[in-house]
Amino acid sequence: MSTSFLPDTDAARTAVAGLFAAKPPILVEVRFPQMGTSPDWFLCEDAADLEPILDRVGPGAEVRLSSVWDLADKAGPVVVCR
Amino acid sequence: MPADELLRVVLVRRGTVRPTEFRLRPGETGLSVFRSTPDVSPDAIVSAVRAARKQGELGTAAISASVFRALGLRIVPTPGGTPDPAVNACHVEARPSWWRRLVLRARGRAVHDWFNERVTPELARAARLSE
Repeated sequence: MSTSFLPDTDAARTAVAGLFAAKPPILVEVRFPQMGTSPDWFLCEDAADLEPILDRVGPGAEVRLSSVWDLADKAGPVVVCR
Repeated sequence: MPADELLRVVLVRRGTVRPTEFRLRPGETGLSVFRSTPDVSPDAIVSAVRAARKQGELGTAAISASVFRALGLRIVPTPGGTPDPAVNACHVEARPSWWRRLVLRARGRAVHDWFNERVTPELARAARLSE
C-alpha cells in the first residue's frame, strides 16, 4: 500500500524528509501515467538531490520514492503527484 | 505508418531500445501506448511526452496490433495523460483479458509480473524503432 501526497504539503515534506533521514539512498521513480512511455529513474543520496528532479517534473507525472534498502516494497513507496 | 500499429515512446540508447521500455510497473493494469493515426504523427506523440518532461533521447517503437492480440491482450481506448489533447485522443491500453486476470488472481500472481515475464520479451522482439 503506497501513501499519496499532493506536492508542497506538510505531509509530503514530512514523509520525504523522514524517508531520507531513515533509509538513504532513495530511488526516485518518475512515472508518466497514460503517456505511453516508461518511467525515469534517479538515485538520490539526500533530499537536496530531489529538488531539481521535482522542479523538472511536468503536470500529470507521478514521483515515487523508495529506499534502496526496502525494494521488496513491503512498506510501499512515498508517492508525490503533480 | 500502417494504421494498425501501436506506438510506445521509448528511450533510445546507442540506436537500440531495451526490453524494459515495455514493462508494466506495479499497479498498472495494461501497457500504455498510442494508436497510429494519419492525424497525429509519431513526432507529435514524442513532443507531447517530452512536454511532460520525460528525459533522454526519445523515439517511437511501433508494434503491430496483431502482435498484441496474438499475446492475448485487448486494446482498450483510455484517456491519455499528456498535455496534448490530440495525442491523448489516440491513447489506448494493452490489457490482459478478463479471463487471464481471473486466472492470475486465482494463482495469486500480479498482472505486472505475468506481463513482464511473458509479454515484454515478445513486444521487445517485435518493436520497430523510428527515432
